[in-house]
Amino acid sequence: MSRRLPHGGDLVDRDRPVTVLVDGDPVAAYAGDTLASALLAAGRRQVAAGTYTGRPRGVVGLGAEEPNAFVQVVSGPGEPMVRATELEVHDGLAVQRLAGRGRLPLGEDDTRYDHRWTHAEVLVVGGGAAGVDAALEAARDGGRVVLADDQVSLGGWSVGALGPDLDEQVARLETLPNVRVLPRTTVVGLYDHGQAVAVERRTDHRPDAPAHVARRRLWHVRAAEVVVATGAHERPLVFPDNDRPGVVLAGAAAQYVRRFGVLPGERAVVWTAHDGGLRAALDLAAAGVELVAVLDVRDEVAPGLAAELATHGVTVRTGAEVRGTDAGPDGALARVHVRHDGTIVTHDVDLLAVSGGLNPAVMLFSQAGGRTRWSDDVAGFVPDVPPPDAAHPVRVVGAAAGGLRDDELPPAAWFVGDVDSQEAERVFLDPQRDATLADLRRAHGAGLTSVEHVKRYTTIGTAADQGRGFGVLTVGVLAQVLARPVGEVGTTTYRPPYAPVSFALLAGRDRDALSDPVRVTAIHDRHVADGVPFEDVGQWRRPWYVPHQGEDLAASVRRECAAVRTGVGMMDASTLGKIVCRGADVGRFLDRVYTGLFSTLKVGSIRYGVMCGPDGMVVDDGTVARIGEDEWLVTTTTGNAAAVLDSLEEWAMTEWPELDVAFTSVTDQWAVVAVAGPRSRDVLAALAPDLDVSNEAFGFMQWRDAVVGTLPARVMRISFSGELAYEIDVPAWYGAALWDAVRRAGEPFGITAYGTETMHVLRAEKGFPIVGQDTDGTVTPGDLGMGWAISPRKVREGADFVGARSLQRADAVRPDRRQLVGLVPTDGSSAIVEGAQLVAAGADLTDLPVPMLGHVTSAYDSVTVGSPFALALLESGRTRHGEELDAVDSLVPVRVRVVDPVPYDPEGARRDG
Amino acid sequence: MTADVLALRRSPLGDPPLDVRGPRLHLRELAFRTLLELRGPTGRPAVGPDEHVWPLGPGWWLVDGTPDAAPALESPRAAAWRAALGPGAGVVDVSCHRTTFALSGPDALLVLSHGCSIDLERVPVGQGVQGVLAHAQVVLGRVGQDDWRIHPRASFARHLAAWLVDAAAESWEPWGDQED
Repeated sequence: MSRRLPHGGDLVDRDRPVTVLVDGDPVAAYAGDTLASALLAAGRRQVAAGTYTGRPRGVVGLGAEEPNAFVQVVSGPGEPMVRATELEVHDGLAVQRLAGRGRLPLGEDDTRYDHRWTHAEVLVVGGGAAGVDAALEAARDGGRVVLADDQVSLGGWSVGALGPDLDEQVARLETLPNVRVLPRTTVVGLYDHGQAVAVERRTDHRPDAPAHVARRRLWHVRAAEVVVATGAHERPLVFPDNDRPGVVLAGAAAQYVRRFGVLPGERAVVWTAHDGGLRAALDLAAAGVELVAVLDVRDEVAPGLAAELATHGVTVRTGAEVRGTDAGPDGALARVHVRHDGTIVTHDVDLLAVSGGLNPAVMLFSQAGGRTRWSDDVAGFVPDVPPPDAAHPVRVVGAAAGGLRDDELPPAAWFVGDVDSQEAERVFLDPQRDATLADLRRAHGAGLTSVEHVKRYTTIGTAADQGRGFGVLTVGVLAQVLARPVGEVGTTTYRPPYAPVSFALLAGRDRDALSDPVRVTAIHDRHVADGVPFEDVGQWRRPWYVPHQGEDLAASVRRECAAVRTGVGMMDASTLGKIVCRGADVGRFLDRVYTGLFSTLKVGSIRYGVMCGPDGMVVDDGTVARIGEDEWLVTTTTGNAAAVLDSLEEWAMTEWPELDVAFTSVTDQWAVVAVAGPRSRDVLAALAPDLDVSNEAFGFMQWRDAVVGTLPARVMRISFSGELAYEIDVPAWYGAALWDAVRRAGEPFGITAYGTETMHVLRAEKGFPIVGQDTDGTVTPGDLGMGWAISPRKVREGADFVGARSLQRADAVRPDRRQLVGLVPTDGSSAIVEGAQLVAAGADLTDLPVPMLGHVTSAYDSVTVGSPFALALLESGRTRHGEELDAVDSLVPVRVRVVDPVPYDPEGARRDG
Repeated sequence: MTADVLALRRSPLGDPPLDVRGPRLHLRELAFRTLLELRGPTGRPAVGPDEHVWPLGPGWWLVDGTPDAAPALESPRAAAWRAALGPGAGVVDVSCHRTTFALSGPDALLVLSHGCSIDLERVPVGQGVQGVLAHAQVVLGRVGQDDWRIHPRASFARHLAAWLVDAAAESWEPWGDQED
């Protein structure tokens, strides 16, 4: 049974019929219909069911205030819980009706989503008459204007009233070069500093869109000024059995007639509390709906409106009230019980159009920090105190500001009549949550009086419609229950997002390989060609180990370690952070940020340094090379490069602006190959015949410029393994060539490529801690056994450095601090687990709490040590060498012995080869 | 010899080269440009044709110069700038630290706006900004109305290239109404 009128409906294109599938059944519609108008046109009254009650539900509203008509879109990429009132129909659209809850579509979604940033002098939200007007005004001086509107075309819902004037304005706006009009775009968040976030539906309505076109876009709009022209949401009146299909908002019903050419019913009762409801009744009558009764809760209505209704043979009954409804066999509305002048009359109808007034859509204003107040004139909450960020004003215009037509009589703030406790179970205050007046009364009975508490106790207003239609009504009902003024009860807080935003859209193109930058070195392609497994270190991708055919991690690392200890190994060390410090005062500056002394460093030399935070705890370490009188090269740990640069900049800018220092990150400028092992000098000699590589000419912790292979290079004699070792730096363009050259030159010496795992084992065997692995922000240099890294001269002379004073606090020198120790399993073979807790040997793990003495920070299987070996932080660790403890992981203890943290070559005899 | 050594260079996007062209966009790497950071000059340093200067901060500039003809640990132009600017000025060779992308065509700004929160419309021709594009720190310079230079760090170059190619999907293959 079609309820489509033979003519009318400016939003639908009758020349373009469309078929959609609802639960598999074809439903005829026209382009321009929403699914809701299509369902109403098809005479489908039940479109949903109560989440918990299963009660039949129908379309209530027109847009975002719709609480019932949610469907699951099953065509295209699919989407759970879409409002039928906001779903544009198109051929191929298939939906399933829902009982309150949708389902996230499973499976891969390869639909594309993107983000865009834009800037404007003025952002106008809402393309109705007030928004279009504001946009034209804002565009006049040539500034950039963005107008975002959630409808298909501008004009809002007032086109009928304003007619050709508005059409002309819209046409003019769309030709202005400085105005960006974004239809089908919902502003979901408004934040400080004129920052707005909006969702644009780009191809939801275009099933023919190719796959590479982003379906939706998240706009980030930054505007100097925001104009909120979001209109108002119609609110219902409530009564027992108010949730039946056929109970529709009166204004919405009129718009279905006018804009879509659809009759929401044939025989109707209209019940209202404001003039807008009476005007809706006129529209319905004009469209041929038989009005059996028009009721107004007010005692008086405007004579003009009454007279117009009288021409349709309708008398407005004032002071009247709906007392309940009955359903027909299909579960939809069949009868309405009306009380007027003390008597109950029952009408057989298929439409009950209700309107309790208009709620100004103040959500964005409120999100931005604006405060609202109750207005008796509007019978709604209106903008009051603007958001605090005066530099980015938020202006509210039109119906969102509570604007009423000049000729209107005041609306009534009427919420719910005299309802007994049995009836209250069927007065639905939030149909989507199936929450009722009885729930609200129970909340009050439990002692709750705050609207925020009542919301959470009853769940009213927490569903997808966020109480847009029913929320203010609920506040009014609560005010009635509490016998307090509505304004005193107040509204709940509006928070973003205004409408749901899918995770896929939030992610945009931050998916898969693009989700986080993958940083690679200049030598990366060589590692890929070698088929090495990679380890992610921060954003860097580093070779983890370099296995021969069939080797696993352990076997590969054993072989790699042996090569470095007995022959020579090579690794890509390009990822270490590198910072050029330039200026006349760099030496003094470094003395202040490192614990050691650097101003005495000579050009050509390198010194190791430890950096502490102001709290005296180790934050980074690395080497400093003096390149020239005024130029120094600082290296940092791979993961800390950016943080260290930030910290250097901060100290230089905020504390010591008088120092002549400037910093430039050069991490990516240099490709670095570390060549380590007793034969490394032979390899370097072969590579750089012009360089005197003797220990006398090129000592430990020195650097030399040289031609390496055929490449311009800087060679640093630095070791992170305890072995004789060099780091060869070349401009990164030559990184791959350097790798090839080192490999070729090293071949006669059996050079072995190694990865990060071997590097970790080698350094652990030397007790070199890794900041961030063996430290956690609570560890002093002394705790690491690196008190030597604190310059005695600086201490003697009372020179200040970051962390100096903190290191003298009593707590920083407690003897029972956790200190770095080595651990070996007493059985010589049991693996020790990183992160294991250290407890007394034989401690009863069921006798809680078990006192914890420390934890394991690094653990490896060490060929050099001859057994598994671990580093750990242990209370009073330095005095406990030789003691036995249990290292407990997942309640499994391993008996360990505390040893010196430098099990290998503690005298450092091997570094010179 | 020089040519043999130069032949060993690999730019971050050198293999295969980055050069993608569509009806509304052209993205390519300009490899081996000589990039120098200058500290000190308060006024914009003068450069030659096909060279650009982008401000990084007060008295702080990035010079994007033509490639050098010979391999060197540090570009000889760094020393030339030091001599020209006098004592107190600082020059750091960052030629390999960053690379150079050229992004041109009517959709260039549109593509950048997919991943950069800066108001690039208001950057005049000849000016540049530092910022974040697609999670990568970059220097962006506008060399023409529809012609941009992007200087990402070398280690981010492949990520950024992949991102730009992806973000420009609708420019390689336009569909529907063209956007601005």
